[in-house]
Amino acid sequence: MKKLAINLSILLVILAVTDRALGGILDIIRDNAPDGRYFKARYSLNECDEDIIILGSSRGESNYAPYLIEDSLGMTCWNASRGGQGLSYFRCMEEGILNRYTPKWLILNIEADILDYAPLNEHAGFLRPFYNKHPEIRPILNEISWSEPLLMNSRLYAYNSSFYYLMRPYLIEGLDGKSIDKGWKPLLGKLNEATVAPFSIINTQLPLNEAAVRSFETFIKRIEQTDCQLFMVVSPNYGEQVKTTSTMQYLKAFSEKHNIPMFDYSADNFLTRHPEYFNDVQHLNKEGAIYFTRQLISKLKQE
Amino acid sequence: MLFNSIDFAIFLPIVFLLYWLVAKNNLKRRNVLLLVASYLFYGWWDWRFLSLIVFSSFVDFFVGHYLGKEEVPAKRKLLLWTSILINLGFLGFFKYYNFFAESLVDAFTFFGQGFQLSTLNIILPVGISFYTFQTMSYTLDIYQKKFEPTDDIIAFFAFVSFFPQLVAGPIERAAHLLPQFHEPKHFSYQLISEGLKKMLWGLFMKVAVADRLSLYVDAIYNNVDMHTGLSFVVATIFFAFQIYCDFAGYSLIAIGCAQIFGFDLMENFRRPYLSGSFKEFWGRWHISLSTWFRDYVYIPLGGSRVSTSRQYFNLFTTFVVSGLWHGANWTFIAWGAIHGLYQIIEKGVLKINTKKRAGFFRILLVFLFTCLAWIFFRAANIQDALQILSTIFTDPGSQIHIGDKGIFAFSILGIMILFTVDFMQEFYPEFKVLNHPNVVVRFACISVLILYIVGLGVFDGSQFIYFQF
Repeated sequence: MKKLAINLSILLVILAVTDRALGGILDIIRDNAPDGRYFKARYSLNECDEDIIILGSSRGESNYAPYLIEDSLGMTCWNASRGGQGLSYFRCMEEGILNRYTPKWLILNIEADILDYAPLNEHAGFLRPFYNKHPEIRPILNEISWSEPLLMNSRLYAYNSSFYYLMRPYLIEGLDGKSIDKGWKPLLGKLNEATVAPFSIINTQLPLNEAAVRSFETFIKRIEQTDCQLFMVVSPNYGEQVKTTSTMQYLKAFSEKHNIPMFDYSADNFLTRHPEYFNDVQHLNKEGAIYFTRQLISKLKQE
Repeated sequence: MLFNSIDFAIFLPIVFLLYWLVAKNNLKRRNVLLLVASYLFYGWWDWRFLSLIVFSSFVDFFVGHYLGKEEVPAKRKLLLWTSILINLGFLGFFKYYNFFAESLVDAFTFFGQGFQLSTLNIILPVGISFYTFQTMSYTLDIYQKKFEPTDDIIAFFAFVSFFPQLVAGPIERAAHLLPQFHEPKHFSYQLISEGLKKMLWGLFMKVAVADRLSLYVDAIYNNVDMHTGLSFVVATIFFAFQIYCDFAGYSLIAIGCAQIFGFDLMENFRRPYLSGSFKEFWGRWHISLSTWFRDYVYIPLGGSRVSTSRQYFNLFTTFVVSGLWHGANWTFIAWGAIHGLYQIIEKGVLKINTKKRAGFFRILLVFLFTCLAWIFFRAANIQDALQILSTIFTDPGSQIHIGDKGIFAFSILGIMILFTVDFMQEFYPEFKVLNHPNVVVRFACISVLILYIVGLGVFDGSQFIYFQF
């Protein structure tokens, strides 16, 4: 038993030292990334000070061109959206940003069914490399599982599965969006209409997911504690129009009650029928994003 | 409780210390501790299912007890059938009732007859197929007078519910495992160290290879209409390694875990994808189940000591039953039938000399045909499996869906590491990694493996595929 205890202790010491060392190296790689998703997350959490912040998932990332907003409104703008993310990520970004400063506006790109399903807690695990430096996001990441605070004692675990995307910006520039685009990831290429299902009208009444509603209300509550003006935007999809969903009904009622301007493009007659503006059915391409951003700017100006 | 969970990482050291420091050499105390730990381990999923395992254990303990005393053949047979019917009754009710009910309704509908049979809203108790087969083998062996019944009820209950292999095997025979509950155990650094290394390699196979591969495989197989034949080929090859790493990984953790308590469990996988024939494949894949079916289904049917056509029937039947054991779905039956046909063709048509070591080409062929059968195993239903096969052979396409490049790249890296180690163990058995004679190399290899698991393992608490069986 003694030999086992000694050898296990030696192994634990080796592991702890290597874990710290590797974690330190990975921190340096993260902090010096020239662009890419970790550059973007780091900039959003540590440095951004723009007047307008855009938050969303992949549609938020590809559909909004910050430079157009800056040119038209005379305010600086940063797109902090990230593909594959949901409410947990939005809350992390919100906490990280509001903890440092209060932007004038926050534009939240929200999906027409986001509250119909459980929030994507585990997807926000992508922000684990920032867990130690940002205590404000810890409670949100801890929602992934009860074991998260335990596992996060490992510096290497914080980078679990991230190595490919951590290293890629050093090898290929701009694959996750160029830094000059201020967080925008314009998609090139046009939708192949032949692969698209016939035009459809979305009219669903799924029960709202309680956890998602709770997460959304926490997000709103936090921003209402500041002077930041929130705008909610629902992007268009090609080949479908949203008549109604439980989420949309809830959001419309909520925005009226809380006096939050909401711009709904999910049933936009022009965009939903013009394939040349889409990269795929859910994401606008570069031309589509420019058109869409201009439309949005005109509405924002009215506000 | 899952082996790849924090719960288990806390549970195991506590039980280990209690076992070696508190229970010490007192056999009764040790068996009681193992029994309580095993029930806690199992009850962690759903304590209500404990009643099933307790009931099953009671039935087989008393049936075994009376079988040992009874000499009248008719009464012995009655006792045996009592055990079989109760055990298979549980299995049939929880695992197969809905499947048979739905299949019956479908069959009547197919022939234009209206027929109503309601299905049940029940959950399949974890590992029921494994512990049922283990406890049944005890009664069957006593009936065949191969084994004497035990009078130690605690040891028997601990044997049935022994937590390392309770939910996904290896399916142990009473003759091998039960006597170990009566033997004194001595703390051996060597054995415990080897057990921990087996657990580590098993964990690597599970969380760093199988779970990573599943991310790609699920993305392809869950969207059958959207992918090219080439993508299905890649996903199927990935699935072959996923299920191997998932199940062999679990078995290795189980074997290593038992070893640290001084128990020896049977080998369950022996580098199956290096088989040169299907006969050899089944001697290397899920060995504890294959031998179970050989001893309790194939041989009682007549085995190889009957006419050739009857032999083929026995082989085919055994594999179909084995397929059904894996799951209540026609896909598993088809998978078993395909393997039955492979065996018949190999034995009857090709007349392959399975004793001669196979070359690379034959190993590759066996692997590819195994993959073909895996399509049925993985697909959600027969229609999907046929659609996938049709897409592969008639519309392979020119593009492979890569999905997340990180997942894809690390999936391939995991397979390469695994295959290299399997290859070295098969052809250069003196080559050691985790047991390298040089202490520095040994510690370095162990550390790198742990760091690989921490850095590239998938920690989303995924279930082991074989738990559903």
